[in-house]
Amino acid sequence: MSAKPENSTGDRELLQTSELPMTADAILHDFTHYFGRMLGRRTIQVDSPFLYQAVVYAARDRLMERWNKTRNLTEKHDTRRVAYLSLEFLMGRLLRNALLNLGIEDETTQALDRIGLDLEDVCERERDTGLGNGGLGRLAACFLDSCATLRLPVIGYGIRYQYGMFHQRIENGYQVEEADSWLREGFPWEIERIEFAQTVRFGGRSDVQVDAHGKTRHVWVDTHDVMAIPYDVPVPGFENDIVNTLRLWSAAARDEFDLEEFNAGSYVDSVASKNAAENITMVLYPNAETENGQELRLRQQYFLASASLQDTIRNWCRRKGGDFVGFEEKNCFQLNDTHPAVAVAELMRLLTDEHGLDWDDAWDITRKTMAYTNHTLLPEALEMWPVSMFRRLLPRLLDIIYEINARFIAEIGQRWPGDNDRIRRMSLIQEGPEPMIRMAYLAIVGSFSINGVAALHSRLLREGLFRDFAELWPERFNNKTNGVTQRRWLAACNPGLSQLISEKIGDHWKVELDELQGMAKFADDAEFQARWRAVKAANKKRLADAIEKRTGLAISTDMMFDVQVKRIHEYKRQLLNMLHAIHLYDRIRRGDGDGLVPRLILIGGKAAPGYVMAKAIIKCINNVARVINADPAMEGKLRLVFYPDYNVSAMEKICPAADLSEQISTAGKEASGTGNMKFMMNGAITIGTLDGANVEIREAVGEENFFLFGNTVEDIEILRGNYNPQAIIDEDADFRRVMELLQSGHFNHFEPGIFDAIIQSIREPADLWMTAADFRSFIDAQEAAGMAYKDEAHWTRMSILNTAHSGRFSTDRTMRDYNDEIWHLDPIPDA
Amino acid sequence: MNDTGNPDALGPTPDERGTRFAVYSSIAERVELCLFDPHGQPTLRQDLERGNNGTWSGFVEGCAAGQRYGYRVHGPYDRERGLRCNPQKLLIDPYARRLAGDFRWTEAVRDNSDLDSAGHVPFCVVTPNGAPAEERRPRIPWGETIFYECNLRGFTMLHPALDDRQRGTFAGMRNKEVVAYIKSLGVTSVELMPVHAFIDEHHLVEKALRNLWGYNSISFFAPMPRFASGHADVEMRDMVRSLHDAGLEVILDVAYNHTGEGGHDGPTLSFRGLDNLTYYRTPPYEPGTYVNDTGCGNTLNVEHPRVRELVIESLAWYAEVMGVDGFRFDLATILGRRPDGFAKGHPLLIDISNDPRLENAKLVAEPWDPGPGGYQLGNFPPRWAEWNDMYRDAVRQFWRGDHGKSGVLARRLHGSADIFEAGCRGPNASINLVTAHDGFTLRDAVSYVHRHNEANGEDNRDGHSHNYSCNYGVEGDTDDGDVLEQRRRHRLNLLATLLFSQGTPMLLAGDEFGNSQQGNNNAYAQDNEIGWLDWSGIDEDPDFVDEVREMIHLRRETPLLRLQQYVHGALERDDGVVRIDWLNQQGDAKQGPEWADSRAFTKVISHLRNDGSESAAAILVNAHDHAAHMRLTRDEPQREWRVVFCSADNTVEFEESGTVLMHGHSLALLLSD
Repeated sequence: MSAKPENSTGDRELLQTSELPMTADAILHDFTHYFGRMLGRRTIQVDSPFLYQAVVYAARDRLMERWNKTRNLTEKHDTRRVAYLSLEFLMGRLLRNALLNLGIEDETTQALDRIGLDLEDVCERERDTGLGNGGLGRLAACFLDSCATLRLPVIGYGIRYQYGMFHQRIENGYQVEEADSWLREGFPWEIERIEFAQTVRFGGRSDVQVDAHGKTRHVWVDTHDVMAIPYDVPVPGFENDIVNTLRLWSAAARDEFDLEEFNAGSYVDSVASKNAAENITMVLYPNAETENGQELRLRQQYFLASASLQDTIRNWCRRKGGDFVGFEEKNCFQLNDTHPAVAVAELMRLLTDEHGLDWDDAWDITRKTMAYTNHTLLPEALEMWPVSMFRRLLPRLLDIIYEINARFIAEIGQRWPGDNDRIRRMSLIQEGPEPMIRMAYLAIVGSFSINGVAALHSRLLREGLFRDFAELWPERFNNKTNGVTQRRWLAACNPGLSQLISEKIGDHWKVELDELQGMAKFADDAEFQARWRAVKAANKKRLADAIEKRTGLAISTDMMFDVQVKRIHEYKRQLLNMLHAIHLYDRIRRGDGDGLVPRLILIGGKAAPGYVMAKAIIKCINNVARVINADPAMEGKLRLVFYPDYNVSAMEKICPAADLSEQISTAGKEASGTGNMKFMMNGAITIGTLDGANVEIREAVGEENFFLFGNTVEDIEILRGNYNPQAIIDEDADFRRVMELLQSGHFNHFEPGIFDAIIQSIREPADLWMTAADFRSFIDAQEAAGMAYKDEAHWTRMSILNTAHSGRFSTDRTMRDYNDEIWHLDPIPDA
Repeated sequence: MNDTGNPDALGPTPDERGTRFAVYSSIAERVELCLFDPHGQPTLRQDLERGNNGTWSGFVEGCAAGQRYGYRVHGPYDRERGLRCNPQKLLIDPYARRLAGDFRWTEAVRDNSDLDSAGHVPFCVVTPNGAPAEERRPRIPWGETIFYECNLRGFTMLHPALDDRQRGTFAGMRNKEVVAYIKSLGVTSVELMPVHAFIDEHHLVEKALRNLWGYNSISFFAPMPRFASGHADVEMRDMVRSLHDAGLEVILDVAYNHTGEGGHDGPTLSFRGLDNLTYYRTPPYEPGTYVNDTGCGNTLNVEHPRVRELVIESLAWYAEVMGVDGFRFDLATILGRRPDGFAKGHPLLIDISNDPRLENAKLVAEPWDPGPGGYQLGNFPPRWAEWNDMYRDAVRQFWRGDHGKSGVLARRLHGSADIFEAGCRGPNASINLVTAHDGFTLRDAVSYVHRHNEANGEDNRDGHSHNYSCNYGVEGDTDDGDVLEQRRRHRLNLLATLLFSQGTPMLLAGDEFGNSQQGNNNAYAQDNEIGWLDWSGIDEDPDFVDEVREMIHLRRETPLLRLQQYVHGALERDDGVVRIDWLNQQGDAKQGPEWADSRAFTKVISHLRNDGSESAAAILVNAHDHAAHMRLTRDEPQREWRVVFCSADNTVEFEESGTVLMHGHSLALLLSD
């Protein structure tokens, strides 16, 4: 460890004297320069990726000045900062957001207009940065946007997967996965920072040696080292000249290849080891449940944790030398879910083994810097790793985890003497034939703050999953309800509504979403309602076009757009939604459909490639859709569409167009949800259970503006064990008919038996998701929603009120909560 | 986590106003401090206050050094769940530096009895705060160290220079003549078997036996009261000082692996009653029983931070205040065992290695225990040396005449680089031994093939069965002159190998004059003539002791026999080149296959200085039954060899230049400068 700050003398800043002008002229000039000179292109073809790239470079230049300035300011003021560690950042497209935040959307539009280009087309050329699966990764992206807007010094640390979230193609109703080679055309936003590369170690063994001071030290030897190369992506704040950083790590072989092996004639082996190293950041794991026990996943987690912590410590030592006094005052690590939990042990390793702190001091720092956000309520999603895998892959970390556990168990013994059951429950090691490390517990034990992501979720964590820990350290548990950034999820994705709102209440809502409250007083204003409906109709048209483009099916915008888009998972109950579709189909067919509102049921989402049941559900939805959409009797009355390859950009089209937002998970299973917030913000009315953030949405908008149905967490608790779905089906004629249709093979004529597992799951008394239990109340609530939709004025009023009361679901509010109660950062000063 | 209080403050701390008492129990609901007068009558019971992190403390005005006391812990009692609080049991303070009064096996000492145990168990005694021992320490460098393992009681019980009061005590051990004798041998470091207060096991008392060895501690601070006529802590400190005055180091054998409280039905004397689940390891799901990695009924739970602290503080007190120079850790694997097995990086091992108060202490591990994965020779961290039983076995097998043992003997002579070098340690990490308290004495190893442990009362089932011993024709005592001559020569062969090997030698006290235990290889309970050294051996064969002294002298005078680094072939040092050559009988480099069949070879260690001068040592080994012609030099420059030692009666005969005739079963050391 070098005690001398590496930057003490000699570094000179290359000062840029004048700022780049933000005019259309200047932007066009830069665009032309990049397109012609740097990218070397001559002719303008509308779908060329180079047009898009040239626009990005022009915008990035402008970000760059602000980026450097932001870095200088944080350095100059020695601000406390947060490192946000997340295995996923679902950034989506960046260009529109960057232009918006820089305030040069109009100028850029004009500049492109002069050469006959449409900004919309250029933006469409950008590939989604799909480094995440769903809510958790999208949340991380929204957080970064809000932090930059709030001037909070927060750096995001993630992984630069070469292949992001897979693309979904539907073939004969089945999901087919295709690799997302998003980097193939280059990613013009990123800056490679090779100078900050770190070494991450794997394998080998833990040993002890005597150091130069005669002290016995732990060493980790005979390791296979991998380079972590950082790529920085700018995260601009909204019109405030702040640009924060998202630092994504990419793995590379330590040395290009092992020359010795090469010389020994074993070229294949030497290349293999290079590939093994680079494999670490090759691909995003597609979901949380199946990754348990997969070694590569653990490698990814450790790779991120180690590189990011080393980077933070490098930065500290550069400025402060090797003295760690005060480290916890200047640094905080927020762990986004359990994935990066190994950071607790890694920080201990870095501080003790590499920087010579003794255990107590290092633990003190760790426990004052680590904070943990939990995102799940499913016990099976709490990560555990076999001790044997840790011993093989991260032997030194295993030592440290054992030591943390020994001290922790002593602490439990002190608090609850002789309560061995409790010790067994709380131990970081789960006993058994294959002992496992409970990573969530490691995160809890090592953190000063543990938060859930919605009020209900946080309560259930305290009372259920982490009850023992909440009893030990009640003061560490808190709630931070998730949010979404209104700049992407209203201002950018719904320009019509955005403009309408700003006309009425000004545009300060873009940074103070609570100001949307001001809309409430126009809820009954007929003229305003009409304009509101017009915007919605235009958005629906845009979506209908997209649907037609993707599926060939024409949709009338007169229909109610009833939307459920999210990952396909049993607990989210796309199945229940489908049962409703079959029920409507059945009613119309038997001539009982006259009073029904014409309805488009839109379902979208990806299933984890290994999740057989979820994939069967996709197939089933598509089959039902095929039957419905081909039936002339359904014409103008009912449409069921599965929207392929749902992702961030798709959502940007979908949520402004939705009338009804389906948030129908089994109560107690969805941690928060953020899709529900996006729909609400865009004026969709929620039909939902009392789960996740639905509870707070309903509270905010008022129960009369929310279609509630289904069993509560407590009901389900009572029901479990006495659950008899067959009896429910038998007693409900509608339900019986739906099941008969399914069982008769009506939707799978030439594919016998393919839905047996789905049918069985609905009838299964042990069905964790209790689909049948909520069928009747869901049907009734849908009926009520349909009736309400027919009353145009009433519906529009509900729609306006939903938007008006969505203020608290801005990530700006979430981030303020994090900052006030966990981080305690000072905003970056102006100068 | 940091607010654990000052660990030094646990135990009694007297000042001018009175005494502060502090004890740890995470499970107590109430802790009573009980004071007693010198006759054992109770004088005061006072509740301690609950502090942070399980520390209970209180202050008693006017209470001074000399005060007798104990604790009573009120709390849960549920044997199935491992909760063992019973206020009827007077408990020893784990941090008490002195005990008074005897332990008696009665019903009252068990916690399933409601009888008060006071009077049946030792009292703690408040001692003055110990100042660090200031006398000059011998600080023998590792390269010069020769351990001398002795049992304080066995060593002194029959020593002719002692009076009855001194026998079996610290005072006997510091007797001038006793000290002078040890010093005269040339050994440097006296390794005392356990002196922590211990009790005699119930099954021994039933057979009218007593524990001689002492691996049954009930305190890791207070020295054994039986070893003193007055205050054991004071007398022990005086002993250490006297040994230091003679330039001898004191190494303590310490057993931080189990306690004398035994299995779940053993007596409740201290730890069990204070906080059973903190101090002892229990198997997962069975807190009512104990992990028994020691074979002694329980296993100390050194995984627990407060137990580690107890171990460290105990070591530091002995090192700083009592003046002890090093420690030999009994069944040391336990100190490094984690749930998934032994780890040299175990925090206790590292804490011991790095505690500044133990900076100069010699650390020696007995690198095995009977638990799973217990055999860990070669796997302890840097700074630690280890008892090398592979050394013992190889040397004994070779000289006994086992086939194909030349190669392994060479590796042991070389310092066991195969065991220790990978862990970045040097030859000194290998504690070479041919005998130890555990097993036959040297004399018995050449007189008995089978163990003879009947006196232990376990039908000769206890003790090792693989002794690699030989009786040379007669089991036990004999007056057959040939047999006696062979046995004597082999005793010399074994000791000469020990003292001429690279590494750190350990001599078992009494082996230098042929002490016997009549074939008993597990004399732990023989606190009688079997286990006590019979000093008449010196007069029977005074030459033998002198030969041992001479071998030790040769080792001391010949740095080539105690290199500080492993030398493979040649090693360039600042002061020249050191070489080790292995020669066959023809004087050529010994080749691979030759190691398998030949039992004769020569090890030549040479040092060619930068000025061109050279010194060399040659160890000639012949384990054949017949004499062997052995050539010393072929290509090498002519050396003027002097024979300085030979285990055969007749000295080595130089036949012609560079060739000698070695008798069968003999070892010789030759030097040249």
